[in-house]
Amino acid sequence: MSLLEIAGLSKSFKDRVAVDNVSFSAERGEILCLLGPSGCGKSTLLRMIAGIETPDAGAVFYNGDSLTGVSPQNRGFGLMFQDLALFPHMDVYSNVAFGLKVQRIDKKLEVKRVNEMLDLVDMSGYESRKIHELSGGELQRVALARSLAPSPKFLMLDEPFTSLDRTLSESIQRQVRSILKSIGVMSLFVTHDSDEAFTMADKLLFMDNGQVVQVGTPEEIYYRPGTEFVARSLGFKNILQGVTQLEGGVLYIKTEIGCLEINAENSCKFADGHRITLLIDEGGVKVNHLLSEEVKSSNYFHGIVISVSFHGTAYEINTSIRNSSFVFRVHVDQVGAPISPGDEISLIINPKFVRVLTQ
Amino acid sequence: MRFRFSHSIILIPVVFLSFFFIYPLASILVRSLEGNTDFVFVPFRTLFVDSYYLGRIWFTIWQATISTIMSVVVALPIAYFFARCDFPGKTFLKALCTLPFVMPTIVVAMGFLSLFGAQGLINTLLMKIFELDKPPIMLSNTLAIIIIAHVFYNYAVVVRIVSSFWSSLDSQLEDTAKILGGSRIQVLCRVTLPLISPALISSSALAFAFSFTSLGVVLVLGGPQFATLEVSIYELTTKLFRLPLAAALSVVQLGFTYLVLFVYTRYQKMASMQLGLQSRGERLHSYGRPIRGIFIVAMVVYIFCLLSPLGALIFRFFAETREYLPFLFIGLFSDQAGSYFYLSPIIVIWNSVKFALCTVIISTIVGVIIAYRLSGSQGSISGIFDSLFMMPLGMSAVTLGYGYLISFNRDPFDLRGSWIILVIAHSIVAYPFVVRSVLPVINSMDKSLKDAAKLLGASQSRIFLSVELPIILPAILVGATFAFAVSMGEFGSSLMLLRPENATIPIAIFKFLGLPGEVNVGRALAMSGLLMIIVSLSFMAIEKFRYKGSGGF
Repeated sequence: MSLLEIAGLSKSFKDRVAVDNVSFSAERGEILCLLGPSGCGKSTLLRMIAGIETPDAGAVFYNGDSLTGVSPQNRGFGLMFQDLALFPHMDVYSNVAFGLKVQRIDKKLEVKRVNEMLDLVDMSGYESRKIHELSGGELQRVALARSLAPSPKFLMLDEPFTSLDRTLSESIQRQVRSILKSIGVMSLFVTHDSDEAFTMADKLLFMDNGQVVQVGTPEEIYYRPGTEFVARSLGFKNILQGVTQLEGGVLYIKTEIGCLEINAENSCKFADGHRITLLIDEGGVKVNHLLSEEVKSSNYFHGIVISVSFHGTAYEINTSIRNSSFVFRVHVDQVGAPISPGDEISLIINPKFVRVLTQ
Repeated sequence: MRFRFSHSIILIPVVFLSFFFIYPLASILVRSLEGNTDFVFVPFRTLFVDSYYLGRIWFTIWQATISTIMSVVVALPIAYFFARCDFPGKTFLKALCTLPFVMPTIVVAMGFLSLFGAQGLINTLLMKIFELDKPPIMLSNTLAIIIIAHVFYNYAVVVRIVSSFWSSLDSQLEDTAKILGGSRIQVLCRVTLPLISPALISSSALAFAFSFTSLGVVLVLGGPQFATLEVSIYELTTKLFRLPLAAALSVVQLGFTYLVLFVYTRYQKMASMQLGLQSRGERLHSYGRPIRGIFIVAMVVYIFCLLSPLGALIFRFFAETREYLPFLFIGLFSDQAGSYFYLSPIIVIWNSVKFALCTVIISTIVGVIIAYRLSGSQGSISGIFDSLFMMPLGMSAVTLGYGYLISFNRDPFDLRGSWIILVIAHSIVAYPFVVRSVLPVINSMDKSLKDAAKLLGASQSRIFLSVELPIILPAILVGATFAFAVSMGEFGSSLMLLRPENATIPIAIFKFLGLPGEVNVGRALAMSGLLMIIVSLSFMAIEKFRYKGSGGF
């Protein structure tokens, strides 16, 4: 059994199911990341694990012991809310010291621990600042120090970086990950940003409509997304429905943009005439300006450019193939002549970058 | 600079208040400094040498403090209940629970007599059950009943202000404190109470001001031995004619009121500022369903117990006034002896309605303009002005009436005999309610709305008429209804400025109570029931259209 086991947690409000039979586990020192759109039940799940909300069914086990009936103050868990919930009537020191003060620990130990925590988040010297005097990033770090001060066995962070701008958010994410790793606290992040999840997580959990739909390491999930929802959450744009077609031991898939050949590794799994969903990685496309001799190769498509945008090392090109939208990225080096909207274009899709969604 | 209408309009309330508020107060101050000899400060010396009046001051402070503390203690569980529990019928129960907020003191006093009086419901019931020949509970003319009555109409103030603020408080703060290891008590003392303290302090200040200047309750329930400052001023003026001494007492009372109102406006502002910062609150609860159910039932029972005096009044109104109803309806148009001052009830009721409608017009105009002025004000001086503008809220109506008596007693402004003076006094008492109803809406109005209208080419007056007015109109209606209810129930200044032909419903009730005989108690009961119904209907309208984002008051 893992150190933390979440077993079948469920919760409904009136007629709406917020969390539906959610189970997962976490090991010591592991950082989990819970991904899902707003309103998918993430916050309710955290509130139940923290003990603020009573589940309708299921239980939380820590070290093999059920926490059912244990009040939030006795669980020894930490929860950092999205809007941080720093106490506005206290200064930085008192906020960080709160969890220590309520345990009535020795004053000297308290001061020492608070100083350590403020050091850790690089906020030493801010002890007597008022909360409303701090910037967004500073608030974030004080909230983290406050959550860490009582040494939680398990720390949950509910979308902690959404209020920050992108640059700041990215640098704080790296800082927070290294802090959490350095103390080795088992933690769970909630986010709806897949980049953030990839930066932070050892393990990803995807949640949709109150259910956990996929669990795995970032690599596992990136290369084998289970559902269209997961694929879209990861930022994949080309998701197609198709029907399998076996021809001479090669698996083809008939889709709205044409017939696609896919990687051999998948071909044995499907029978003829199977309906599947697949995604095409935006990076797996080669552009052909000139209609060359490669015409005969498979996965050769013909489209009209709708829009082009520049992203530093690559162009993102939106095309229309048989009236379906198809998006791909090409490295600037691979584009010979400039591409502009209205151009006719031919492209080749690498079978390695076509993935069949597993569920 | 171009002369601007919008700037000069502020002159209306300034002139009105200078003449009918500042000038009478100044007259009191001047009067308090004169004496029979050349030596000034004589009235004050009398005041501070005479142990009787020192005792009155001490008693007033003391009873107001006890009343305030008890009101807060009674109100806090209810405030928590409304802030953090959701259940069907909550809006209605909350409105019912805060009904005493607008109940005229004289109706409250009647309610207490109906419940606890010698012929009250409780005593009648106990006498029947145990076959006693004397009423077992004698609360009339005790300090206890004064305090209980003060708690009764002040707990509603605390509930309104604190529960609105509390429900807007981010419950994640309390959750965080719990997760960090705080016990229920620790979370309450270290997080919740400090956070709601602005609302707690401002509502306590208001409750203190109301108890400090209470007149009707003390006169009707307390009897002669429990004279507060307000009662002393009333008696010195109307019975003993020691005007300078009354003036000195008024000055002392004004000083206290101003201090308390200063605290009120200061914390009220703080509370509304914090409100803007964190309007998020989840009301999901960790209690199991049975515990929650028990809590809700217990609170509903508690609230109904609190409201029992009004229930008793209504009960007796319907059960016992049948024989007096003819007095209301048949005797409406007769001037028979026995009706108060030979005025038929219909004239008394008509007086009340007429004064209330005029009060609505004056106080709405004055209140809305002041609200506009205050919405733009900032800085340290504005705090002093804010509390000055809001001062009539907690000010003694008797002092106001007294000020009018000594200010408007000479030509060309001898207004003593005119009903206009009553309307003006009512308007002074009522306009702060208009300000408090309208101000939060003006403050919450998105500034970019006006800018957008300006960029679209609308003129200043056009913006006011088609953008601002439609937004604040519901709030103005709420303020006007408040003014109506306040004027219907106004007691103190009406009593001071009394002319028989200008008697209003509260005055008539008071006078009936002073007359001997069961008939007159019945008449007081009938009038009180009527007034209670009118005020309750107004309050329901207020609750229906009130701006829910404001701090309750």
